[in-house]
Amino acid sequence: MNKILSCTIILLVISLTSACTTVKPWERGTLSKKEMSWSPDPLANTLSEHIYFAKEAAAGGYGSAGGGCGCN
Amino acid sequence: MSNIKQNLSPSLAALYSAAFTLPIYNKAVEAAGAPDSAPSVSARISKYDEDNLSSGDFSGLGDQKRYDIEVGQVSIVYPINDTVQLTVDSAYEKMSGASPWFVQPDAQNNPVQVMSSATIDDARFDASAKLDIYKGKYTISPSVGFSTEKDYQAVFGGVSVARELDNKSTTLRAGLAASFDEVKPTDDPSIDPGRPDKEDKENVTGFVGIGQVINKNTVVQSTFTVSHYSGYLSDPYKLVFNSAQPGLRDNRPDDRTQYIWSAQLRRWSEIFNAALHADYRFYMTIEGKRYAHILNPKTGWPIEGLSAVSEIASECLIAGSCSTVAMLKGEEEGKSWLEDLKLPYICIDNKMHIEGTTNIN
Amino acid sequence: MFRIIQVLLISFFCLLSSQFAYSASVGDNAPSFRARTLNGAETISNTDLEGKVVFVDFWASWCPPCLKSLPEFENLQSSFSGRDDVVVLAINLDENPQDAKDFINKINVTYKILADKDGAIPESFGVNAMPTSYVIDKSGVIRYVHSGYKSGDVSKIKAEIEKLL
Repeated sequence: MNKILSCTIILLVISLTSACTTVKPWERGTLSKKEMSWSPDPLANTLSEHIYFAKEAAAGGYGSAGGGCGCN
Repeated sequence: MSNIKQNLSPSLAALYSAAFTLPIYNKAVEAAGAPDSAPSVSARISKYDEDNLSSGDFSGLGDQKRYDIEVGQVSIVYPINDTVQLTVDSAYEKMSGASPWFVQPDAQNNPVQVMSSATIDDARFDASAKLDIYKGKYTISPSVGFSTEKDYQAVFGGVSVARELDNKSTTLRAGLAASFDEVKPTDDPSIDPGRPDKEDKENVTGFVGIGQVINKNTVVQSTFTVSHYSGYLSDPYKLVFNSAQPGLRDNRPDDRTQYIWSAQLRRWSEIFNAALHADYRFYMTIEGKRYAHILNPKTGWPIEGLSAVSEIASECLIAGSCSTVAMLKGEEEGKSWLEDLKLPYICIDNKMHIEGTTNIN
Repeated sequence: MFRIIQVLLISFFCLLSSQFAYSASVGDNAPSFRARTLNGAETISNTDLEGKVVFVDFWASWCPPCLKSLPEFENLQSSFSGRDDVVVLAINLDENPQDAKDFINKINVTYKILADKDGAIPESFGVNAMPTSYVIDKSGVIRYVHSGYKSGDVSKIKAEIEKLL
């Protein structure tokens, strides 16, 4: 099962990275869209995370990193 | 239990975990590099209710209808200057309804739920504040907060750091947070004299994560989190059915470590003019105690079969090992193996049937 | 599970991009450029600006620091009004120029704004941050490079321009 999962993940990564390119600073317009953020609706995200925790003792895993406009 | 009355305590409040998700999780903010251009205020009102207990699972004692919940949230984002931004979040939540109390066997020896009466009425308020400090390639985000309701108080604090690598295509992030909780049950002690008056609980959580821009339309991130809970982790309002020992309290281990791995993908589609969100989380709790969750090492999924095994042996190591092996073997094979050991034991299967050696001295 | 984590970490680190090979810096000759204005009314090239001190800013409508800077560059232009040897030029890089027009319509600026949705001009300059601006002297040599933008940066830029007059 772990071997199948590993292979699946590797294939998924490879398929994504087959279109892997260097993104120039001025090409980040799409990445800066609100829809592309990890949490376009922070309040909804807070609520659902709380429900996951309170009802399923399922918390965490969302220390977000990366994406966005990359502006200085 | 024949002595349970139909109308249970009107002040019985469910333990609605106020040790809510720490802000290092809630504040899913990219390393944007700069505060927002202007202050903003957001508000949200949500209303939802839990599904009623199905008739087949209901004992007939208490109220079948579960919780109705209303939540009001407010968030204020205030850029203080070019390098610092303050975010203040708060939420007020009202909960009313009935809550599960304990499970007992019905006439066919199947487990059915005994509920409280639908008179629980509780409210919770929480507030937190976070600073985002942008220093070149680094973003440092300390946060503090608290949560309060009638029977549960929590305070927490944490800090996370994000660093963009030179090309801004890769972002590394790490964080650490701690929460200190106190539970003080507020139901009438005469209903349940054995329940604790006050207990404490702590949590420490740390995470590391990496985000990577794949191309101008795709970004992924992966985060690994370790969360350790210690102290009173049981539910003071809940009981465990045991025909030989009425009124047995919910009694969980006093520490628990949880491992979480998450992966997220965001991919823009020009055709749909929308972004695809794909999120995945995998949880694993590893316990050293024999009555805690155990993972099947072959599949990585929780085992099915015996829920709990207790064994008596001349040494703890023998008792613990035998119990663990019995659980891994599954229900029928596990019971058969326990019989072959010729050691006193008690086991509970997933249907809450209790079996074991009689006349244990 | 740890094996899966290893696989993922290795895969992610393999994705790390490299930095750009060239980035125009102080002392370099400014690259040539030619583009239409955002409103399409005229075409401007670097040869039209010879003998003048030129301030060039690369911006986009999705970049918050860029949006903060544009009104302040109008003040920069005003401070050199009456002189015909200082030019303020903003080059917009939105892939959809309409997004830039929507923003410009909300602010009142009189300096020229060029449109380069394909990104050829920032590529030639080796722009590696948004926004980035350059002060180019009368000989076409870059004398100052400014990455990012915070309130008050316009005074630094003004001082650099004044050195070249």
